[in-house]
Amino acid sequence: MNLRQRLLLVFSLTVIVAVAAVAYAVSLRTRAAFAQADQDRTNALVAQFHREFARRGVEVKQRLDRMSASESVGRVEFDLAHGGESSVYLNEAGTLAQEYGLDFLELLGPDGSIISSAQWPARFGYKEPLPEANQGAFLKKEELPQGSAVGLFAAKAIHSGESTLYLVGGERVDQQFLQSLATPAGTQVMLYRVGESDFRPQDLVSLDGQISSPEKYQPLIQLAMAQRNEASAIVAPTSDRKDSLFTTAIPLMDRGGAVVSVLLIGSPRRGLIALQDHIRAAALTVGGLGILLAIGVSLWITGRVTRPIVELAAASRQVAAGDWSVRVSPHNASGEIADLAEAFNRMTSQLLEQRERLLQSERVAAWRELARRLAHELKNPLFPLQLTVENLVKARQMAPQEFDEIFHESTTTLMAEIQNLKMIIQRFSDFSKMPQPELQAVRVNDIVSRVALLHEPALKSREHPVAMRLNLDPSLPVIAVDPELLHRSLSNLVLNALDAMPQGGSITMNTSAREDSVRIEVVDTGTGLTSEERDRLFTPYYTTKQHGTGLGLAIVQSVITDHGGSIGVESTPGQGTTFIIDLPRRTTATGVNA
Amino acid sequence: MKRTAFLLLAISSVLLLLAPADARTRPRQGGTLRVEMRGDASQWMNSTVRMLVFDSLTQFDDSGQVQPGLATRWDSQSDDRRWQLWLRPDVRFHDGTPLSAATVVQSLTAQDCSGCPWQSIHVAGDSVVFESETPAPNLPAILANSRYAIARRDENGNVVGTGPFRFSAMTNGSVTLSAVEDSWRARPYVNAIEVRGGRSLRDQWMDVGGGRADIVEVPAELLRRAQQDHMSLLVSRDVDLIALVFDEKDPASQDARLREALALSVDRASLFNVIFQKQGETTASLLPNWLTGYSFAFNAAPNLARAKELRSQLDRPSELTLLADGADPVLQLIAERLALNAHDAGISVRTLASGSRSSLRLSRAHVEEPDVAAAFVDATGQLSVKERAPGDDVSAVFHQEQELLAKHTLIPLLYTPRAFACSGRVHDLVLGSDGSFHNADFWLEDGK
Repeated sequence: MNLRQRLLLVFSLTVIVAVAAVAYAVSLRTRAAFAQADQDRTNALVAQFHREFARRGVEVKQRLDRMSASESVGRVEFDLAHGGESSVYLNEAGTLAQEYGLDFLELLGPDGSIISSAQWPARFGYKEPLPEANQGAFLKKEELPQGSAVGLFAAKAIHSGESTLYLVGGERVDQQFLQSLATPAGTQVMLYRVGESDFRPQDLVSLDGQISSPEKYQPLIQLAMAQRNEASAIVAPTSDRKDSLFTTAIPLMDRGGAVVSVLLIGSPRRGLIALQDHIRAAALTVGGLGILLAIGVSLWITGRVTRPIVELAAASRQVAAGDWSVRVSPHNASGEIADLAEAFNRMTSQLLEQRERLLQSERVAAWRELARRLAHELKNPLFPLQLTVENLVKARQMAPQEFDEIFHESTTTLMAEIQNLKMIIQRFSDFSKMPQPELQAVRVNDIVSRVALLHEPALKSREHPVAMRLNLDPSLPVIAVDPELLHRSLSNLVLNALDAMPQGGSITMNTSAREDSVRIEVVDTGTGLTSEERDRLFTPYYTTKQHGTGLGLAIVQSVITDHGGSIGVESTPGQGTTFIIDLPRRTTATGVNA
Repeated sequence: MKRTAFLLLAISSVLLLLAPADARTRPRQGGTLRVEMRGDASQWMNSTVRMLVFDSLTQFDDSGQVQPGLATRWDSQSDDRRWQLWLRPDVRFHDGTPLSAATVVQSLTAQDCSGCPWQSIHVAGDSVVFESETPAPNLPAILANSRYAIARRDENGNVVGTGPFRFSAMTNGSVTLSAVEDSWRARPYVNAIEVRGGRSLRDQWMDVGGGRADIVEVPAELLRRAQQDHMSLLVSRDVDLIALVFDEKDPASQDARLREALALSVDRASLFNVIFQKQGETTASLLPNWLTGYSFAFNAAPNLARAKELRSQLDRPSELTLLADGADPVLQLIAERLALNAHDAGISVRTLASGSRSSLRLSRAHVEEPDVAAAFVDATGQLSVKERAPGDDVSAVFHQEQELLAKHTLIPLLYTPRAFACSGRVHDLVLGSDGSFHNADFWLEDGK
């Protein structure tokens, strides 16, 4: 991952984390604000419900008071107190309930037996718990022929002598009761009547009678009933989460503490969800823009920061490739980058100077070597020449016959040594006049075979014979080389190998086709080379032999280089040496690949 | 002479003094009898005045003996399997059509005769012949039932009979029946009967109290209140039976122990004492005690312990459904009470106000015939518990009824009377033992 990508990642992550944190914080705060508003609304509605509950209770009580003072009830009371039959008043409760606008009304005898029931006329004679004295309004689950209902009840005891008549009346706590509550728009108010069996959707009523998916409220209702306390949860009646409601379930209990009904107040979450969606959309937009900005900024910054670095890297690669003349001048660079560029330029300048000095040193060293070699080469023939001349001078004083003999021997020696000097000079001349290769399409295997064939008799005739082995690749292509120069070069390597194996051994010549080249290996089992020897092996006039000129391998390297190829050496002291020649796969001098 | 003149003067004075009293007791011609009912006026043919328009082939006298009606005499052959009835001559329908054996056969075959005690009926000269596969010793008594009254449709499609009143007009929810001048039963005193339908009981009672109606309905459950209000009442014998009838095809009704448990859970006394204010009688018998005299032999007392014991022998019995006519609040109330009784015995009963299928239903049956065997056939027929005609012997009826009730598919509950309140201007109006008016000899005091 480069700097640009890293910067982009860092900027993007920074923007995303910052925007997400802000969005989350805002959303959290908004949710808390809405939850508080919902709670306030719920509390207000619950308070309103309780007020309405109390008001209705008082109203029911007042109706019972008025009823007890009425002529009808007075007649019943008087009749029953004077031994009248209660059965006569079977329908009295129904009439009175209708007259006083009550949903429930029962006339109870002194023992609590039902004289007349408006809500279930057939229950006459059955006994009900006697209402307590001075009891206020209370909730009660009233059994009815077709199930049960929850009502807000009040009771009134009418005493006449020793007899007592009880009026127990009430109103249904149902949909109509809910409609009397001033409900804020959108708020769902529902009432669940606790039945005898499990949850039944039809027992859940709302203001408008429409409840979608009432079973979704079941867990909350059951939780409130189990806890006997308020419970809140988010209920989603439909698949659209905007329809979800923050719902609070409030259990309503009768005198005995049994939960008879559950009031549910659902606050719409549409506003909150819309706001949250808005915040999320805004966060996404800001985040997206931030990422784009981050990309732009990172591109700009990386442009400013990395371009000089990239230039420096490219220049470094050029330096590594040997081009020490490269210079960097990053524009707009400042500070550390500019210092770095200046340091780089200073480094390449110093490298050039050092290389120049090194070249000078090497040149001097080469000249010294050449001088030493020349001195050495020339010193050997000169000394016999000097001795011969001195002998001739001395022989002048000898007898003519002796002089003639000595003169003849001396001239012969002089001629031989002069010939030797000429040969030395010729060798140096040849090296200086290395001919350019004349390329022609040849089979390398043929040249290698010819070299082996040429040297094989000499190898066998040595005191310590050397075996010649060929390992030639038959698929080797025809390539363009100068057959004569290549022959000479390979012969040179074979002779070098022979010199390295005074105690005998083997020489193996391998050929193989590579992707872009043809490889020739000359492997001997000789004494091997040291690391220093390997490094200087191809240096002209460097030799490890007693009588070598140090030009043989230099000439081989020159020939191979002139062919566009390369030569290398691998050797381990005591284990032999391998010369590796790679020649380009081309069939013509212009470079058409084979 | 003076003495004679004084005597004549005294006699004249006495006659003058007696004249108003004479006028109050002597029947007066004319006037319209105003009858009100809760049902629609178009249903007048099912009302109490039905038998003032139509006649049956036979009729009962006050002592319960079968007397000639449109048939003057009858005879049976083949061990009461073939009955021949000779028709009264010179009787005409209200449209002038003479009564004939053919019109009688046509009338009796036109109606639904699934419960009729005969297999075939045909004309034999001026007589009508009834034939059945089993002996029908009570056929003349059965033919007195108003259900077998003779009627036909005139050319306008109106139903006409042979009674002392004829259908005249129907306007504004009222039906007018006018007196037939040449009725074979003699011309009635009043000129017409006006039947107003769709009147609530409250309105009817206010109308009769305010002199705007002459005959109004008094249901049995309000009879005591009417008596306490000192209304002038005409009350029949206990002729209306209320009974529970199991649908034997319903799977929930198959177990006899469940049926018996339900029968034992019923508290008839509370129905009698509270709902019907001690009017009528509780019964565990199909026929009223005044008719059979053996009603007491059937135990009407509840036995909740035994009912619970029977219930405990049942492995989770199905809920029973009890159908009671939703338009009849008293039947609804009784049904709910029975459901409570059943609940006390551990039996679950759900009441229904409508529907075609139920485990059991609460039904009313009307007993008209003073003849025990005929009443038995009629009552079981009305309750859709088809029974063969028992022998012409109370003992035979008792044993057959005992056999029937032992299955507990039919649970009689109560017998109640029929009652009407009448205004003070109506005289000589007699309610038949069956709870309807047969005699047209009533008259109105003011003749209006």
